[in-house]
Amino acid sequence: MRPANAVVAVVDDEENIRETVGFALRREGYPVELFAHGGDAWQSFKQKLPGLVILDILMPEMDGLELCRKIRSISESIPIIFLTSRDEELDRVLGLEIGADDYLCKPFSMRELLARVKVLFRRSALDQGRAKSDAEAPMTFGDLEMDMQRYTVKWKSLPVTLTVTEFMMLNALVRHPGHVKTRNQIHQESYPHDTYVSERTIDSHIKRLRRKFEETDPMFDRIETVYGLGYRYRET
Amino acid sequence: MKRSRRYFSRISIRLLAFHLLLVFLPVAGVLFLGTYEKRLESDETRSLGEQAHIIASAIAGRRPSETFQRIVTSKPSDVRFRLVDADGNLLADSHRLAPPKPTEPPAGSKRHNTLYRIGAFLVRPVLKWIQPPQPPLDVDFYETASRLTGPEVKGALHGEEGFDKKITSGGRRSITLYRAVPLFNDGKVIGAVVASRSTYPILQDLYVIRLGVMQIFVASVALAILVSLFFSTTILRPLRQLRVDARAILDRRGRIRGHFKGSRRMDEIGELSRALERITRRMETHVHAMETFTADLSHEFKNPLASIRTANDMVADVVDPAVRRRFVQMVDQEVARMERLLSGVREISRIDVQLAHEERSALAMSELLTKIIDGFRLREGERIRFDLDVSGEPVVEATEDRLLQVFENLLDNAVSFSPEGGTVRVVTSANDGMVVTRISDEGPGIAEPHRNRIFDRFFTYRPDASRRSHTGLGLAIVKAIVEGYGGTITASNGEIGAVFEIRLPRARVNG
Repeated sequence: MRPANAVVAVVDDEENIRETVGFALRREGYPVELFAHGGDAWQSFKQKLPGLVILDILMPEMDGLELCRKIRSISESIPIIFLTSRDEELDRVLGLEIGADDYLCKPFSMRELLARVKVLFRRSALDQGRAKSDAEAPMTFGDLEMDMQRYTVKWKSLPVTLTVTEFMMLNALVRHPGHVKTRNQIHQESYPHDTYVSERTIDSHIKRLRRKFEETDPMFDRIETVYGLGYRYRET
Repeated sequence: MKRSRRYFSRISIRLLAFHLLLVFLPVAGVLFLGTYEKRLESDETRSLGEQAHIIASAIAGRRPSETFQRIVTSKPSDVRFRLVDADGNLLADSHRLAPPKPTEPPAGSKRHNTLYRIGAFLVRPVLKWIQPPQPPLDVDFYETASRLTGPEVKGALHGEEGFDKKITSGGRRSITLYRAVPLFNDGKVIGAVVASRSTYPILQDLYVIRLGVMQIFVASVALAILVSLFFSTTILRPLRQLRVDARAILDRRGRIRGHFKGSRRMDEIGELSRALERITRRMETHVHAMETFTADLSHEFKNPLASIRTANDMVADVVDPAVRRRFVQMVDQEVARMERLLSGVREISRIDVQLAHEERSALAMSELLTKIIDGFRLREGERIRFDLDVSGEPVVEATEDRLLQVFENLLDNAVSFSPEGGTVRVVTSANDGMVVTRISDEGPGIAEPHRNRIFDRFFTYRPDASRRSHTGLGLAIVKAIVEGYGGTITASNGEIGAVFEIRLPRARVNG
């Protein structure tokens, strides 16, 4: 199942990262466009949008955030993955909620990146109705409804917009309600190919996850912190 | 025990104790009043004897009774004189002949009673004598006697001078001193003159003195407390504030957060608090710089790490030897970049310390720049032209290697941004105690948003190809060296290209 527009644009000022990521994506069969900074990329995107964008945040000329905003001004649906090299930067970017679909911290594993690209392409294909959903109906856990195909979530029938990472974290917690998941376990289930993710990153993702649910339902309190251990999903 | 020790180690308590001790010194002086009292008594006894002698010698051989009467009535005195015959029978008594004015209780004795009693109560165990004397009820032991039989009288009637003290019946500590002098006629004792005086007036005086001491003591204690309070408000309160500040500065994990709030007081504590404020502010900025530096550093390392990791993933995944070679080469490049970063970081962190230890000499800028530019001309060949213009006598006090580092870095920078066939101009001149050097290129100049950041560590903005070989530390190192020499460096845009201006203090040269 190949998306209609499978072009992946990689925008990073690091030449070696661009080259490696480009090589890996091509090997997976994706057409690839490489850009050294946001300005060049924007010039090209104005002509024709790619199917997915991988963006470095810190770049000279036009940085990743600005480019992301510009892309969102012409397309709400194109998937965007951010690459960041600072934990605190990730926090800031998450807080801005500029509409990225996922974030990966440098140094990331190539397989992790490829897996995310695949998920996002599938999601956008399903959203545009170009692909048939597998018969699998969304899974429900009380008020929570998780679509394992689209990576989308509904709480009390209201949609909650999650990044792929947040979805995978929630999934890790929800599948064993009442059981405590350590940060390490959450990490392994949400970044299956990445060897190192700081615990702080997990914490800030969980914080964001709670906030997103609270925006839909201010009474939401199902994700509990278990001090010294990790987190737990309470079913009722 | 431990608790009370801590309590007494407080400065305020020690100050109060010290002040009270000072106050007790005059009280110790009161003890000497006892000695004073004894001396008064012996003086009094001697004086009584002398007066008795005078009267005795005056009346000897004449009609004793008449003469005695004349003498004692002509000069009334609080000394009581009696005249007795050879058997001790009373012949005349000065107080009967001329009664003295009744003694009045000391003025204001009632007013002082409370105070005196408090004092007496406090010191009673030590000083039993501090109670006020009562006015004697009957003034004299012999008051009603018609025959005097005391040992002093008997002694005198036997021809020896007699002395005795009798406790006045009414007074508690009041005594009466007696002195008897024999009266001779042709070598035969015909009687005696007995002089007596109560010590009550002496005690009365002492009592007034003691009362005065008591008043001074009470006033001094009050003053000591006031002084201690004053000390604790003007010295200890600000000290305590400093302690509170000091505790607030370290958070629970012992990190420095915030700084001392310098007080505006003009005294030493104010100075101390301002000094602490300066120190902690420096530390705060230093800690902040360290933290940003660490964040920057980890950021700088993550990019090469990301390249290494992804390249390594690919090497593991790919079979084509040519592609594998390419990725291995990439890993090599990035490792080299990390090494460059590390050595740059090490260098920049040591510049300040190193500059302080390096020997400096007077260096002529013209020579130095000529040398550097000759090297660059050789390296760049026809590609770039170099102009050098020297005016005045620019000489700086520095280490040659450091200046080479500064100008090579800046020229490198200028060359890397110069277009093919461009010119790099170096103008150096001396004025106003400064040596000013400008280096300008014909490159694209510095984009306005980057102007303030180009001296920041790790900031790079370069054409992509040359990017990997630059750590973003070059200009930061240049700035650290120039500032280490007490100079400044600024970057701006000229008509075409960028202009770097370096100002270094001019060395004093003879003549």
